[in-house]
Amino acid sequence: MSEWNSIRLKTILVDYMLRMSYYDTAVKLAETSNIEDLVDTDVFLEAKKAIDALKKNEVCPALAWCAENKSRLKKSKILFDEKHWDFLADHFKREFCRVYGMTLEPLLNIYLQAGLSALKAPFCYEDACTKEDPLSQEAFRKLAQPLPYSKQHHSKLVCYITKELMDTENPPLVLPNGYVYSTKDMAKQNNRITTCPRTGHVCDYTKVVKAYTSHRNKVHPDLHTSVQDACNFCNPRPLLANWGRFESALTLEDSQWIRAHL
Amino acid sequence: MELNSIKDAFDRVTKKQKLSSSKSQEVIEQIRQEIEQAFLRLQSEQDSASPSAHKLILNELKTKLKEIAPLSHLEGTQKELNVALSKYPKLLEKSFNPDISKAYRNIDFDIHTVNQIIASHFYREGQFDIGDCFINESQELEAAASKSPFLEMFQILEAMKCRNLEPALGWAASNHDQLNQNGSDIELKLHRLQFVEILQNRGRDEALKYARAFLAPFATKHMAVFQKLMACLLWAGRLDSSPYAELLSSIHWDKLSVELAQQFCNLMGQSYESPLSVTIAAGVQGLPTLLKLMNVMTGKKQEWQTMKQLPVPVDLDREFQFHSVFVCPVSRDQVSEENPPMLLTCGHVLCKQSITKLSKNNSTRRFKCPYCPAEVEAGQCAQLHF
Repeated sequence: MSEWNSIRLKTILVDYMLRMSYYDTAVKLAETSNIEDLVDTDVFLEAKKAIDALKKNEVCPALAWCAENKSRLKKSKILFDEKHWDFLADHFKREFCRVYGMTLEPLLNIYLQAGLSALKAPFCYEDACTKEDPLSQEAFRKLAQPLPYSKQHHSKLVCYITKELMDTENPPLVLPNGYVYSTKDMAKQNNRITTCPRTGHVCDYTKVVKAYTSHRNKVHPDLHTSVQDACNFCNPRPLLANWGRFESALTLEDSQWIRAHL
Repeated sequence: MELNSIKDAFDRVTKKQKLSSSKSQEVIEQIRQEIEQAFLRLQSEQDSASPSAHKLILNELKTKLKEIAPLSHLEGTQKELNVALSKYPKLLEKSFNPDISKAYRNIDFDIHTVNQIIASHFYREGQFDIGDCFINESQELEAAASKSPFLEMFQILEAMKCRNLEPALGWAASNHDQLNQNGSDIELKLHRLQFVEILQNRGRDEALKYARAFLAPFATKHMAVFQKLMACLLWAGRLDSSPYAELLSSIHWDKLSVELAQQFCNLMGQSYESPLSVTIAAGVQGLPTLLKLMNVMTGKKQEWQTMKQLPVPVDLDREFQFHSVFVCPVSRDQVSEENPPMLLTCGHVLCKQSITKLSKNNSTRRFKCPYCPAEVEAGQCAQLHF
């Protein structure tokens, strides 16, 4: 985690402590992390004074604050008409947050919810889920329970062993039992015999086949016909004539293969 | 963040301000000069003072001042300044204070769960004082359970910082079987480091004794490492000028500390990175997309509260990709247990439902692969496990 990420998380945590009235922790965390300038301890202590008083049916501190911030309070007239003290305290809190440009919810809750929504996928709930995924933890699953699943438009394949991305540079290889691992991982095994780590299945390396999963370059339909013609009639001319148009749509490996076979 | 547009707006304000101020000064200077001139003329004609001459001078001054028209001059620049000045805070508000809670689904997180996550975050980051303080203040006493394992881990790591491997070796020995099972060779790495330390500081005899007691059990499985370490014995006292000098590098200590923390967390059933850090970092990255989505969805608040899946992808960095996701290139569906990915004999991959459709639900009927000229049979397609 970068330093900035860590400082940001600490300010978010201090914000949470202040909103939840865990003032000792807030002050201590801000002090030990040297982020006192980045958090609003004083502002929250001011709000706490007013809210605590409101809960004890005292309006003076709240009114004093209202007077101080008169110009920025637009709709505060109703403050004086309300009968219910709890509602008043709540309303004060809302206005207070608005005036200081703060969200009503703790920042932690907002970022936590966004993060959980972005990370939540059906795989998180499988037994094989990696421990590095926060959603493998019961507490995080519980929080994510009412949230929507994330959505993906494009395939993103991660090698089960190396955790590296499987793409055209590191293509996925399929064992005869259907389990897929990355080329880089297979190269590491430098052995003719390969064992599937998930099933224990043992096979010869020559039985491994490559899977084509990235379809980013949709192949031109003319290419199909031309390749077919080239194969069927041993006539590579139409294919070669349009080579310039086709080549950009092919992976390097495929274009080399076609050149080698014509 | 678009700091440039903010800077531009700020520059505009300062420019208008300068313009307005110089214009004001110019006008005032003009007025001053006119008055001064009038004054001098009045003085020079003091002797032959005829009231009508004085009146004439004053009238001329009045006309000139009217010609200068200070108010209309100043009004224009002042107005421009005001426009720029009122735009600037609006831009600031827009850039720095977007209401990020718009993307917040109004559900209450269970406070105890959140507090437990936070307590365990403090402990795993080694902030034990703050963790204790938090648990006291929030009264989440059961969250203290996560403290002792992390305390042990940090004691081991602290000792390693002072080049003391005893606690680490003790931990590795008592978790020997489990580490082996996970395929970790950290125990050997710790012994290797200790061996080099002893060889450097206490000499050949002690090192040999240590190797016999602790390295020998690893010899058969890790012959190459073992041989290298035995060769080091020949260079006792001058290892730094030997071919094995790199064994002395402090990088080994740093690397091993990280690996130990990883293995320690792994044995605890925990991740190495704090899950709270990871989730918040993902949230920070994902929030702009969610906010955009909310802006599009205004008026459909209800939908946002109940939807089962986000309607748009939230792109996160590679580090947040913990699982393989396969999206069928034909149907655009994400594969699932009911609709798994299938390998066609030509090597292309589609989801099962797409294959069923293409083959008109006939396992022996040949169909053309949508991505190459090959003709394949549904019955020959094999399920994949990523």
